Amino acid sequence: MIFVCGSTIGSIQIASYFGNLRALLILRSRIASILFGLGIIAASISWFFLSEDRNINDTVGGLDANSQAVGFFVGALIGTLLTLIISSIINFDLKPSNINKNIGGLDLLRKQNYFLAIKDEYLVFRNDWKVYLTKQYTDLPKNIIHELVKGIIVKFR
Amino acid sequence: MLSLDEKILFALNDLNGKYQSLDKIITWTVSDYLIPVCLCLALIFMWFVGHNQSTRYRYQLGVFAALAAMAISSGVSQLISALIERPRPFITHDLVVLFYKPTDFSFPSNPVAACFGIAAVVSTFNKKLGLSMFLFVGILAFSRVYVGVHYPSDVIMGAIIGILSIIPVYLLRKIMEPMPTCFIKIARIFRLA
Repeated sequence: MIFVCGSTIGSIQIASYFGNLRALLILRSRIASILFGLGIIAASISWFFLSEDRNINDTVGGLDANSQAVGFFVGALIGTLLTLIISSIINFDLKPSNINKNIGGLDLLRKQNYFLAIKDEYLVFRNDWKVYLTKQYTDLPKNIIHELVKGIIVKFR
Repeated sequence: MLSLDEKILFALNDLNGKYQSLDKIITWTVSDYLIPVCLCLALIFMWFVGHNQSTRYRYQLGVFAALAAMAISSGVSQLISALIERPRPFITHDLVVLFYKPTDFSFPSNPVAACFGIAAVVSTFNKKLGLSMFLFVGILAFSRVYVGVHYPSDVIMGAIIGILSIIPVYLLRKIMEPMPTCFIKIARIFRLA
């Protein structure tokens, strides 16, 4: 799990470098960030394989496929949360005076740190949650199961 | 009379122990953790990397498609494995085995099928990333024959299953699209998509 957690932090750093998501970078310099990302992945892999023998059958104490999947999911989740927390603390001063209201999702993290982005979203929600929810979900399929069944029927008719 | 499958297996297995550094590298690359985890990390990378919302949305759908292809190819290979019941090469032949001895059947290679499924789907969304994934999965396939846990035909069949898993994913994409779209929409509210 530590291996996945470290590697996830590294891969988010590299992706943030290429996607220009400044608020997710743990180091201020973009070049340093990509080097840090590659370094933390290499360090995690080396630690994982050098610390003990990892090629163990699941019948004698190794992890089976399901446990591996759960381990990966939890490790990746912790890695993502750590990235969000650390990058928000480091980029605390990343708060623009005016933000285009049409920008949303990850694009906002080019100009604003994660905590502030979430805080702003929460304030909009608290202001008028009915309008907020209507705005967020009007373009979603009303009933996913209905859409799925309809799609299957159309496909096989 | 040896089949081509066995000739290739023996030729590769004969290399075991001759080059210590190669053996060390192979024990890493054949691991259940290294290449499969690296492919999943590449999917995390793909989730965040798009330059604008539409590119990112396309890549994020690609992540879901890759996971679906992985599940489909893994399921199909396990089904075929249960039907054919081919024993592992180290059971029928006297081989040097550098890896732990798996207790399930040999044909087709499940990890190779699952990893090829991911690489095949990703290559339809991003050629460079997909090709580098194919390279890594090729190393995994080679390693599994080298250490003596698979015949070459096992990994070739695994690769074919993985690549063909694109077809059901492509056919089902319109039907299944509302689910990942809903997930991406929720992730966008939390500034994660």
